[in-house]
Amino acid sequence: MKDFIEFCINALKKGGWAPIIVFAIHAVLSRGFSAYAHFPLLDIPMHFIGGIVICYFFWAASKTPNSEIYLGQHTHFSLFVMLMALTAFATIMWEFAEWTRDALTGKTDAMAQVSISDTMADMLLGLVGGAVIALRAAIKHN
Amino acid sequence: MKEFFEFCMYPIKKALWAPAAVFIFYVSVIHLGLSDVVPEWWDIPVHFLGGVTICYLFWTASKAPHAVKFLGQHTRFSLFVLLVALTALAAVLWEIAEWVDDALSNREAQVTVADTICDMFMGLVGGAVVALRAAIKHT
Repeated sequence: MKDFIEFCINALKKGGWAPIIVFAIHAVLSRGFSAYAHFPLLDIPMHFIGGIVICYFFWAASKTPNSEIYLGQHTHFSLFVMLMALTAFATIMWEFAEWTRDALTGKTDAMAQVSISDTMADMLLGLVGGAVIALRAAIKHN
Repeated sequence: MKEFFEFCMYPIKKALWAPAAVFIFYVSVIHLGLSDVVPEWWDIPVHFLGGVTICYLFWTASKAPHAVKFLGQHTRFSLFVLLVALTALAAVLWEIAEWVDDALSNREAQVTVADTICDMFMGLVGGAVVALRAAIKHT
């Protein structure tokens, strides 16, 4: 358990800054400026960047001590597969969170998930962002 | 390339029957007009079974020749993480495929956002059940 907590802390120190910054920007844009209501297309780059930073976080986690216990030992190919899969998992969790938030707040005029197409495009963009970093990680892996 | 082919053929031979059976049932209900016969909530257990069977396929793949090269070397914990994450990837790709199919064929497999989220959730739960079993049985 101590090893796992250490692994999580090291992963957060090494790669946590990226998704935290993007989440903070998202929160400020959303809550502070209602930016997504004024510029709905802003959603597109934000989900792409979201995919990039969450995949970067998992990549950083895969390079921390004891990562082989919690994420396995990888070749170039398997690292790419693992990072893509973890990005997909994070993407689903994000959409769950948005759906839950929409359901709990009940604000029909300020919903995060406006339609199925929007939700699907969000997930696809997240995956594409993740693929960029997963490819880079696989190439740089030794 | 030969190694990759051998790696792919192993789960196809040993475990593809499971997700294929669920897929055939799903497609039959939609395309043969059986949706009037089955209860309204029919897709909930189907998505759960979809998660179970696709995760079973990945678990089998993790035992294939050259699996270390293509899926990595795993402990119990990391195998659980990998299998749940791969199930998530399959769930996302499935929903995107349904979305494209709906757009192309003017059908409505994805009724609402809530339905789609529920589908993915059920798939993940199904995957987690098999991933847990895989992790326990992992040596």
